[in-house]
Amino acid sequence: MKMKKGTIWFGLVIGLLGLTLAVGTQTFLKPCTHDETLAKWITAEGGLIAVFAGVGMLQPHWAAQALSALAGIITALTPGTLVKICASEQMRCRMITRPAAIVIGTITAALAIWWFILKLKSRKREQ
Amino acid sequence: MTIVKLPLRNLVRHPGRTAALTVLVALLSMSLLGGSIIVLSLNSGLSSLENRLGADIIVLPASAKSKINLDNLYLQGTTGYYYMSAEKQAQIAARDGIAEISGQVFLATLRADCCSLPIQVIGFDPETDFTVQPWIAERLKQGLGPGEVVVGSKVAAGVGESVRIYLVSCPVVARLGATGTGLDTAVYCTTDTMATLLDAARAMNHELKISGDPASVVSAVYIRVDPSYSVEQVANDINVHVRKVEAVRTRSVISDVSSSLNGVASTVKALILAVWTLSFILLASAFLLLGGERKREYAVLRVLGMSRPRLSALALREALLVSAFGGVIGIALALLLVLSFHSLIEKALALPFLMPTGTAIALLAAGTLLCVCVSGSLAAAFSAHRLSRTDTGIILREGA
Repeated sequence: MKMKKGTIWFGLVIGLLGLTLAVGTQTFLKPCTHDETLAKWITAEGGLIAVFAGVGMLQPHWAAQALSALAGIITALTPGTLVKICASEQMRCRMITRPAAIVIGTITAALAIWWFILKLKSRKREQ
Repeated sequence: MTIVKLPLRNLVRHPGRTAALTVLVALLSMSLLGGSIIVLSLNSGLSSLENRLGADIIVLPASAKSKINLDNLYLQGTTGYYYMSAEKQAQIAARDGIAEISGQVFLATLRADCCSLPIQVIGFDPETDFTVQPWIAERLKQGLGPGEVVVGSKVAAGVGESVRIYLVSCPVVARLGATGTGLDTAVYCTTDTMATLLDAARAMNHELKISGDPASVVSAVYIRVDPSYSVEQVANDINVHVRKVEAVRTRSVISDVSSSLNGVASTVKALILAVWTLSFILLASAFLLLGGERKREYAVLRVLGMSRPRLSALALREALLVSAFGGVIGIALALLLVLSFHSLIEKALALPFLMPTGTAIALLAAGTLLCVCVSGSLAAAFSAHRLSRTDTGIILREGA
């Protein structure tokens, strides 16, 4: 029962982070109107994080947590590494979108890894 | 199970309680470290501005007042251009009390496309300059050649690359260190190169409002005052005797910036103190309440032979573990947020902002962890003291 509550909490928080990223990149975190590539990538990644979190709540399988963590890491690396962004530090993509992706992606990955470790410990205790 | 592992096991077995305490402590450490980094960055930025201004007085054309706030030039790098005849510099040089004098010419580039920003180009006279060259000399041993430029730390062009200004390709020979001011977004060249750029701008039908030879104009004159004269006296003298110019004391710019900075720093410090006080009270209350709830648990431990001091030590160790764990999380979050969003913070504050070095940040983080651990332990101290005074028999008879 304790683990199920924990699963719900983790799933909700990670799902919320993913949704914030997906919706935010199209609104208040939007890079610029010139090139939609970065916005589309991060929106897709945010959506995937939310989906993996939802799946992880319904079917607490280790793969859901692993995929959430991977999606978080990829999100953090997307602006600048996977998708080119403007060189000037004063552009919106560098000042707002990239930091948001790094912060949300890193927190998502950290929470997903923690969720995975707790689930592993719980399984060892049951065995 | 040993006595040493008991505090950790207690925390792990009550995840909800532990999570709540951890969040409180994380909030405490996040506000302390984040606020400290911001205040330190503001102070570094102000020192940097004081070091870089160099001159005692800056003289601008009177018409520049309507186009620019001098504070903004140094804080936000406002791009603009305004000119006066180089004869004005000669008139100013003739006034008493001037130890050194040098002119600079400004130009702003155009926005090339939607992914570019106009930048300020600053042309200085290598024969007389005393504000820019000492700074350039830190990065470039030889002087600037014809057409060569030096860029500020935030200009998106590296050494060996070129910047195109009004279709003139200018090779970048050095990149200056960060100052945390608008000077970081400027490009520096000699007045000869600037004359070429001004011609190129006019060839592109860019209206600069210069009549005559572009090589005979200046945008600003920088003055170092003779120590035997007062800066205010010399500035007033220039304002009275040289027409259509405005002499501004750089000290007044610095003190304006310093006042704004002190206001922001005070606000940040007040916020840190408020969060700290509130978190401490909440933590102390939480430990007190928990101590009350766990009376029977502690009574059983006493019956099993644990002494009163060891029981207090157990409670303190639990508090220390929660504080350390929450502290580390808070520090990690603060670093993640401040380091990622530092450009946005700088823009929002609109003040000189220079991030501390890695070593300084590491020391701040260590200090924050220490403060948080001490605070957490202090918050639990009263609760731990009460535990050591509790009568076991009464608790067990209560049947709570």
